[in-house]
Amino acid sequence: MYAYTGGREFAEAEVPAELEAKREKAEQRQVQKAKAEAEGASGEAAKPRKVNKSALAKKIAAQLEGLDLLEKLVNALIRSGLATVDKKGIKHIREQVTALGNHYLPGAQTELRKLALLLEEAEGREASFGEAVEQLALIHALIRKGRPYLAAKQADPDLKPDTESAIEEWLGHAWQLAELQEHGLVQTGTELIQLSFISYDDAARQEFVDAGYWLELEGGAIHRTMNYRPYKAAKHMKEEDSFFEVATVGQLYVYPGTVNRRVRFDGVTSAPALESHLAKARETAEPLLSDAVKRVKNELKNPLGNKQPVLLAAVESLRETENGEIVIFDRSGGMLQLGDVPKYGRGTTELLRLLPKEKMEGAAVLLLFAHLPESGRLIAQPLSIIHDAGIIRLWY
Amino acid sequence: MSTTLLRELYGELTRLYIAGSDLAVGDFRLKRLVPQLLQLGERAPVFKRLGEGVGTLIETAPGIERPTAVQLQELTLLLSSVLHTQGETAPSSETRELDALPMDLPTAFSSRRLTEVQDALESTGGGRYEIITQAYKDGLFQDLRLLIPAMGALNDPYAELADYIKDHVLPDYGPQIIPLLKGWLNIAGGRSDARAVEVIGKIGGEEERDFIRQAAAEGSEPVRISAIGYLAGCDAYVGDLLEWSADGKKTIRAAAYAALAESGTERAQERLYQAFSGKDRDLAADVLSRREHSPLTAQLVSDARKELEEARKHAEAKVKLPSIWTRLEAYLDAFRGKTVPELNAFYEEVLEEGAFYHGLGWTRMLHDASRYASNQGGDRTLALLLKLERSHASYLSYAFRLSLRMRKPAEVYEHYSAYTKGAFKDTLVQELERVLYSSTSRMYPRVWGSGEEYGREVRIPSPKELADRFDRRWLEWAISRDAALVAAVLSEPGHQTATIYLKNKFAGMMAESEESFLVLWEGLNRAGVGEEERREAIVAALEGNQRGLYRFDYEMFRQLTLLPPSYRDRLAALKNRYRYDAAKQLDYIIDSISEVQS
Repeated sequence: MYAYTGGREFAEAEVPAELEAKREKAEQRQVQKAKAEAEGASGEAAKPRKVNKSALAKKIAAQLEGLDLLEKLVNALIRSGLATVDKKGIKHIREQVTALGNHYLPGAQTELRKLALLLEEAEGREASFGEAVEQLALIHALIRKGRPYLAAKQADPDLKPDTESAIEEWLGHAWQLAELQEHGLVQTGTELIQLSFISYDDAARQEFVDAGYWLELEGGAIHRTMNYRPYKAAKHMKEEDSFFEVATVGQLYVYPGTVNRRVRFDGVTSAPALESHLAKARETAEPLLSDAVKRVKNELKNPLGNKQPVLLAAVESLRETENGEIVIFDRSGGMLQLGDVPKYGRGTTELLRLLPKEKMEGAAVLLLFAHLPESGRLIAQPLSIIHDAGIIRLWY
Repeated sequence: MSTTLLRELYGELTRLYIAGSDLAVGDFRLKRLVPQLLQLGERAPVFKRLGEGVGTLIETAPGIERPTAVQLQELTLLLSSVLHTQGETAPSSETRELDALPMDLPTAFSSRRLTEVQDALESTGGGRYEIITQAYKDGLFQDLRLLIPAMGALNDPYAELADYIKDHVLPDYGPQIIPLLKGWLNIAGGRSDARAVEVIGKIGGEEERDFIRQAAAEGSEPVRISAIGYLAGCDAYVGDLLEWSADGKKTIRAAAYAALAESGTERAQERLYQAFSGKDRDLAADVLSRREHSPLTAQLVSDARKELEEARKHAEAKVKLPSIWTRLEAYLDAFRGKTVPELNAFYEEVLEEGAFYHGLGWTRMLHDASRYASNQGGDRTLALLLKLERSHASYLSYAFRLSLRMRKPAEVYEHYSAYTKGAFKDTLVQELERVLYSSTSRMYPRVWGSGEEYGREVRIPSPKELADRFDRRWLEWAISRDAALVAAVLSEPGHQTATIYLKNKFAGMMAESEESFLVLWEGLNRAGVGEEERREAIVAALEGNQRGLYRFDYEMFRQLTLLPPSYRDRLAALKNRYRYDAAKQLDYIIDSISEVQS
């Protein structure tokens, strides 16, 4: 560069073959992309994916067998009692986790691995079996819902997958973007704003997870981006990070599910968040805490629903109980006690004491809910606060 | 809806999961719940379903078609769903105004940056100090989310890190974090609480003095020590400090003395002075040794002179001397770093009787006196130092350096050249080396590999400067005493003996240390030996030395790369003698001089 600015002359050289090949490939990609877009625009559906029916039938049969295997294991475990599970018992469960790998049920595999982890953690202490019991009930729900679903698919190979609930994902189906598009689960030109972000280690999935909570400015739905980085490949995969601007997403793929549906992006442009964006975001907040709680409970009662739903609620003021637990109030005096969700992410509730009052009163707060069976409480943890001039992020 | 009953049922079901579902059959605790459930079921159908579920569970015969495990799972699933709609959200008690400590801190940093620092603050193990200091420099600690972890790191098992947090990170938040720190710390606690008190002492100023006083009076030992330090210089607390200077714990007394020393009040100084005649003599001496000035110095000097008198009086009665020396050592500590006219006289008195004190083994006092006196200078001092020098070679440096400053070069030479052997000669050579050159190290990019490496640099005064300060006869003296490095610095062109001597020494000493290489290299230059001839000397020395080197030092390596290509074969012949870095360096040298050829 110095030589160039110094006025020295440069001779033009042949383009190296390697570079030329790269350029060609890039051009081809562009052409293909344009073609695909043209097809999409002209309303022609992309070629339906070919499905190998006999292979599919075999797969479903293997899945059903897998569910049987899982049920047998779980029932045996419950009959003899969790107190009898020793190191050998846990080893046996782990062997079954591996065995499930042959049955195309990665979702069920993850849940069984989680059970093994919980039992390991409990180390035979009775007081610590609570979570293991919850997990067993969840596995039961998965078997109970999964079996008829798979049986129906077996009977009718042309049956469309369930796009209303997340059952496919529970069983471990990894949705392709093309499939989502095929089922009409794609929106265009959506404006999103990230409200919270966290990276955590999911030992049951054996993956690091980068989770982002995004508010859709139009309509106010809260979506989740889940970037999974398997332990083995984590070194080669980019870790996601907090996103501070407003994202306009060309194609927003929305996974089947209920509350906080998983989404993926294609074609993102970003611009700084303006006060108008923040005002719009605040407007989407649930005005009454009782309604917010109702929505949450409605989701929680579904055994295969989102166990940790997140929603945005309007806050009028804050107070605390005699034990120092922080309580938020809505405009009609409705109350909700806050607290940190155990074992997930980081504690944030106490940070509220360190915030200026004027930034919280009249703000919208993003809440993460979880039901705690031991105390019988529905706990809500604040993740972010949208006030007049910005967003205070208590996670990341 | 009766949540209590539902939760009781859930508890019973959990018990069955733990004990084994086959035990459900006929379980009387479950049986007891059925009528209640059915009764409630009349109003809410879900209770009826639960009641029936429990009924089937306890009646199932083991091993029949629907096993107990499935029954239990079904029932739990239903109950769990119901309970999930019953979660309590109301406050656990009456509410009151939120006890807030608002801080004006943003939350603008991203996950990737913050988590690294949070993990470093909250974990243990190596590599964390760099992450945290870098984060501090980058301003990350101004993010709200690092405040609490930073405070927690006052408790870090790695004390250097905890101290860094105390000295830099927390004070930067300013007085706004004081209420937070007060809520966090326990004045009856340990080192980490003492650190928190220090932060408050540092940034709290006048307003927090009462709190600091309370911590100093009522805290645990480490907390008190930290707090007492922050009461120094406030006359209002002198009364307290006086009280604590009589505390049962030595560390508390030491802290109190240190704080009293900063007070100008007569009472405070009086107490310190008293300490000199009691068991706390060493504590008081230590406190004074760390101060530049003390109003007590003159008084202590006069006491110390009395001790000297005593010593001379009891020169024969050896039993008394050790206790006198113990007291004198405390005085010497207290005098450290101070300069007052009284001390001039005191140290002069010491030097006058130098031989006597040296005989008693009180050498430390003689060194203190010599150091002090040579800083003052003067003919009388020099005379005293020259006299002391005769007692032992270890005193030679004071007189020698002062002589160099005050006397003509010829006079210095005439006096000192008389030391021709033994410890005096060795000390003299060391002293000459120390005044003739100095060396430092710095980083250079490593040309023969990646990264950087250390190389030394020597600073040698110019021949002109040397001629003003040193007699020419030193060169001959150095050669005859085999002080090669001294001879090298002082060598001059055309001095045949010196040239031969230095070439000889170069071959033998060049690989000893980088410093000797550099000094001899310059010595040969001063003797008029050209660069090419000197480089030839390196190669010849390498050839003559059977023992390989581990690596070539920076300058030797550089000189080898400047060799003409004709040396290639001679260097290649040396290759099998070297391994490790030296082998790589030699390869590089051979390559680079060949390139010049091509």
